[in-house]
Amino acid sequence: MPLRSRHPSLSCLPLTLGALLLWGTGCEGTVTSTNPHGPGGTPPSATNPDGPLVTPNAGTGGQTGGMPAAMPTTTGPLAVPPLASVCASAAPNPGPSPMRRLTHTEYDNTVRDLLNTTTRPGRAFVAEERSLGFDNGATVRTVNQILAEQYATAARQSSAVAGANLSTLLGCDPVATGEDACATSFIDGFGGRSYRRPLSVNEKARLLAFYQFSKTEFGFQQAAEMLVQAMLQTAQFLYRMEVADTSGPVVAAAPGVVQTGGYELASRLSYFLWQSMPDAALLDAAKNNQLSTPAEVSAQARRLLLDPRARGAVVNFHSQWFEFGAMDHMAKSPTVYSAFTADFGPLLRQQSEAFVAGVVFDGGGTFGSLLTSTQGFVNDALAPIYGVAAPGSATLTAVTLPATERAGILTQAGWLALHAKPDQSSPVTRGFFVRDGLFCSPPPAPPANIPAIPPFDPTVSTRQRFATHRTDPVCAGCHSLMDPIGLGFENYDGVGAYRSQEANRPVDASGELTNTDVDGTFNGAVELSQKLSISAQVNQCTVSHWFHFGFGRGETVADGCTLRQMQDAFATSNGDIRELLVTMTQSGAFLYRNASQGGTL
Amino acid sequence: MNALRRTARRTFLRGAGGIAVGLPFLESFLPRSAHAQSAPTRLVIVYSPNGSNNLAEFMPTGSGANFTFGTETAVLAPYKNKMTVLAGLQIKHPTATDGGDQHTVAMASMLTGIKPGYDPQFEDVATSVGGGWAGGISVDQELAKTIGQTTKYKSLQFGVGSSVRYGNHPIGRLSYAGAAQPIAPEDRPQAAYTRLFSDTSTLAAPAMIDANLKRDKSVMDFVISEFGAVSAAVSVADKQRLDQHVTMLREVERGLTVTPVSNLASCMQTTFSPMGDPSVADSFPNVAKQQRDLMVLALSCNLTRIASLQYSYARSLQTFSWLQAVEDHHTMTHANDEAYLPKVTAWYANELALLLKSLDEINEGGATLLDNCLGWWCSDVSEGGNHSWDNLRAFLFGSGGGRVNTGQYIAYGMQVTTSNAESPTAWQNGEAHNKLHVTLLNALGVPATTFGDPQVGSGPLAGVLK
Repeated sequence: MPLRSRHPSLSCLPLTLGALLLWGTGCEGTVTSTNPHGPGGTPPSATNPDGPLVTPNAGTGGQTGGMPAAMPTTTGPLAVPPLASVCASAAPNPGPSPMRRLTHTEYDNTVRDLLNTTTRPGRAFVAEERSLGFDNGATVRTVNQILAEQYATAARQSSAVAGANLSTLLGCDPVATGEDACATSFIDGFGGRSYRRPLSVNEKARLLAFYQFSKTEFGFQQAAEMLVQAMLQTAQFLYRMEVADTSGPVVAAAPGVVQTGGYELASRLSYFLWQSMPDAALLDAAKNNQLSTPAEVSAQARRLLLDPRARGAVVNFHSQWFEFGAMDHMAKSPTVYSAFTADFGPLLRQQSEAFVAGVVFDGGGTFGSLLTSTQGFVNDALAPIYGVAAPGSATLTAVTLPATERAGILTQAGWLALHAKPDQSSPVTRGFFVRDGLFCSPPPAPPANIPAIPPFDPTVSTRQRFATHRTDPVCAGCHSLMDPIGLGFENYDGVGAYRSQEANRPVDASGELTNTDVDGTFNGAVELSQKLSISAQVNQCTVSHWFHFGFGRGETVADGCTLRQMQDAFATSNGDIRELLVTMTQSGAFLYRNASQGGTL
Repeated sequence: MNALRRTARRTFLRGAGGIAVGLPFLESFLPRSAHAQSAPTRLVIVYSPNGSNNLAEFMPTGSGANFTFGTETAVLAPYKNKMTVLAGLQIKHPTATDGGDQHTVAMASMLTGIKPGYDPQFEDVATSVGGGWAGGISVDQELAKTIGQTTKYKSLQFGVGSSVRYGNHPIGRLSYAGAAQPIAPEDRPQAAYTRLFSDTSTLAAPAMIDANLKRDKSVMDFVISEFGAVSAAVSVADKQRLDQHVTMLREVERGLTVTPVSNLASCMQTTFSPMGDPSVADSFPNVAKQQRDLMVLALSCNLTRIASLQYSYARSLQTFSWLQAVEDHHTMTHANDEAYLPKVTAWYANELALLLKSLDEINEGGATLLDNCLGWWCSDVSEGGNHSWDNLRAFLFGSGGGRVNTGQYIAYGMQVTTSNAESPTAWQNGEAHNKLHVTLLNALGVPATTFGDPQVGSGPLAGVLK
């Protein structure tokens, strides 16, 4: 579930009163501050003047019409980004540009590309921080002792593996060229790739001195390995440092702002689109000053998007947004869903990943198609859940799913099963995800004393069992935002299989969207997904998630024009995801940054 | 049960004092003769979440030396003479945090005694929790600066599902090297084992181990100085992050230079078989057992003198299928489940009893390892139903080598009834829990008078220290 900032203490009351009540008795307790900006975010404060942007939400009413329009206004600061005309003449504003440490995924990919190994030590690294739904928030990340040890151990092991093939690693034969000459060229070449830029004179000197010391103490072989072992633990490797030495020119119109330098752009591009280090072509482009114009940057972005590594990055984004990883550990009731064995969870995750990759890279490529594509991937084990013929293979195979039953990610069994209980469906969880994850408009927090979920009764439909949510006004205030959406998924049981009957009656999958820009009734998840795909609000929410993932932070007031650029491009391209990513590389937040205050390397 | 009885699946290891201890997961051993050493004192923190919903049954009855454990904690009765139960400890912050839920804020305050920060990036809308990293160093890490310096690991944190739901998040972190410097527990017994024992268990020749250490230290020296050389090039805020990273590197390096425990090889040589996947909810009890055993091993082998065992995280959503419970722990506390919640509470109490048993079975020259420990069983809130902070769980165990009056139930202040139907009782005249921090520090040899936020209280708790 995406983690979104919102005021946590509104209690679950009828909606007309809810907005006025700022102190609640929700389980979060009473330690929150007042939020005059209403639901949706934390206002800027004295210590954080560029405070988080109040992200668009549906708190005060919906929109009419289908074309992308201005977001619903709230009382928050800059809920609607500046007009394009305003941005066209404004000085570039990068927003905050905090230093970013490699995520565990990025670490593994980088070591893979740097050393040609597939060991993936990052999978065993200690848990990372998650913020705003993603694992790559720049400023929440910390290094604890276990992680420092794990970096050290991984570096030692990687250096031993690399050192087993010494002349390949070094790129020269120490016997032929002489040990010191070979080591020097290794430091230049491998160092340049590890640090993702040419070494400074001082860095080179220090590494050379370290090599000499190590060679004296431990011999040449170990000294070479120790160079690798050391470099893999440096700040230059683990962090994406953007400093004065690598900076682009100052921007006269924007004091304190510089153009992002060529090598910095190379890393920004590769870590955004590949979650890995720049390749030789990117580093060469930086070296030859061919990453200095927006056109050059977008050309590289398009090249990177054609590489298989881009599939991994785009899938990773969706995997975090839709929580594919949690599918691995789904447990279902063995009595109610006896066929759902322990391997189903991981299978559904793989299938969800294949679906996203298929839609974005081999299919429609738009966010809308993510919600409406009838393509699926099944193997013999999964086929029964979808009611399609077994493909005669254990490998996931592309199939077209029945269009009346399946269209888009919200009708994939993985998402449906994840947002369900072990023994039944879950209209509240499903409705909450749509409201929070797709509309970026989370309902207020539940109160402290919610009663237990009504026990599963095979003679009564889910809709009936949750009737209290509609009839009790204390519940209805919040549940009216979730249940009418979630009940539209009642054709899918707790493992995501389609059902036309429940409790010996035809399933009633009617639903209703309220407080959105696509309000109205619908019947079933396929029709709901259609409406969601054309919602400007959902599209803008999608843009917001990509902003968080791409820039490793939340939107601030300063990011208005970057957001305007992203939203307009997304709308113009009808939600083309790859176009959005290219647009992001053309934004103020990408092409510019705050000048480094520090010295030289 | 006779600790020396051998069963088919059990094997034995020798603690630092030489007495055999049964730990079923081990598969081979090589007993050595005991080494006579004066036993060090240790600090042990045990955390389990969500307090209790029935303090009347959880807390003891009686007072002073005349007390009886409540029905929910009756399993601890055999250790009464080695325990000190305290009531009336409270989290006190002079001002409120900028945000965060009761559980998360309490978690960040529990060992630090100071108001935590708040970062909106940690808000989790699905469960409406939020908070920020602690505002200062935790008491265990403060102690690590002194009694932690002679062991390879100045402290060790063993986790049981501490990070499954929220990752590295304030809701699941108790120990802090400093403000906003959380220490993550190791949640996987296999990784904890490898980290602690891999060098000895691979039976590498000592000379080889020494050479590796020397090389690793040289590398680390370079890395640390390289950090120093480049950190001036980044912004002030980023430099702070790099400096914090270096603090961790220095600690890793220190571990490389500590003389290996002289009897570590004789302490144990074995292989390890994990019992269950730590990322799966149902593995909880097996992971707990292995982590508990590893912690006892690390303490008895003198790999560290400061250890913590953390079950889950604050506002825990852990499920308990082995107790036939369906709802998660937190939901049960608010539904005031009377069928399964007491079983969960009793299960956690039994986990502590199992730890006490293991500690008490290790003889360290006259006293047991339990006697030489000073431990604190804590929870994020006192009562799960209303997340109160006004009667924090403080079941102390061991005496820190005789520094503490055990066999006592001491209440600071008293419980009164209120006219509030939702919270019918409250605690008056309690003590800031910072005074427990001071008590722990003093007992283990650090003469502090305040800890955490000095405004809320000073000095140790009355009646605890000898």
